[in-house]
Amino acid sequence: MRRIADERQENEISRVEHFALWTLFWLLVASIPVQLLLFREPLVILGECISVLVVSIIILISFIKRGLWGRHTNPSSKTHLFSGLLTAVIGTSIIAVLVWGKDCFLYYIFLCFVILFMVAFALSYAFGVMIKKREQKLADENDEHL
Amino acid sequence: MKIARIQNDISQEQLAARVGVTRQTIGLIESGKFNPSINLCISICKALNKTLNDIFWEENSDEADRG
Repeated sequence: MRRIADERQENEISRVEHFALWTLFWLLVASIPVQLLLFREPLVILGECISVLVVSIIILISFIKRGLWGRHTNPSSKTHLFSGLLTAVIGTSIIAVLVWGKDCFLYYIFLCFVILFMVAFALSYAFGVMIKKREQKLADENDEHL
Repeated sequence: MKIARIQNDISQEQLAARVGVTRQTIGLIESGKFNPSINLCISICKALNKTLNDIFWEENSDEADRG
């Protein structure tokens, strides 16, 4: 189909799409704990989890390919620590809803927190290294063309 | 840009048609509310028979005061 929107209209369409799709993404994420609290059944959130996971993987791969980390930070120990803690807190909160009232509740929560923190920290560190290498490679490729 | 367009005796709509954008876009560029890409700037200059410096160079405050 032939495009008839000019560059300004394309910019505005992109902005609208950006806002709408990010709103959709965060509503999807928010629906996960809400449904868990209402139904206490993990299968209920399976579709939402798969959708969020697929989109997150697409964003991650796209960022790595372009050598991008984020708008406000660079990969550093501070950001890896923050990623680890944030993931551990959110993940543990969701797990807490599922194991609420069970025996050894505190033990499960503690174990979950530690494992999630370590995995998230390690992944954040690994992606940080990959992204820095990719950024350098893209810059070097650009220099070769000049 | 507006002055150049008037000197060429063409309307916003005519200029928009020549460069392949909407009249609203031309209006927003003239009022400084939209920054066109370099390609669009070049198209506008060609349509108005002007150079990039003539239309899109920033005046410094002294020149602006002298008007």
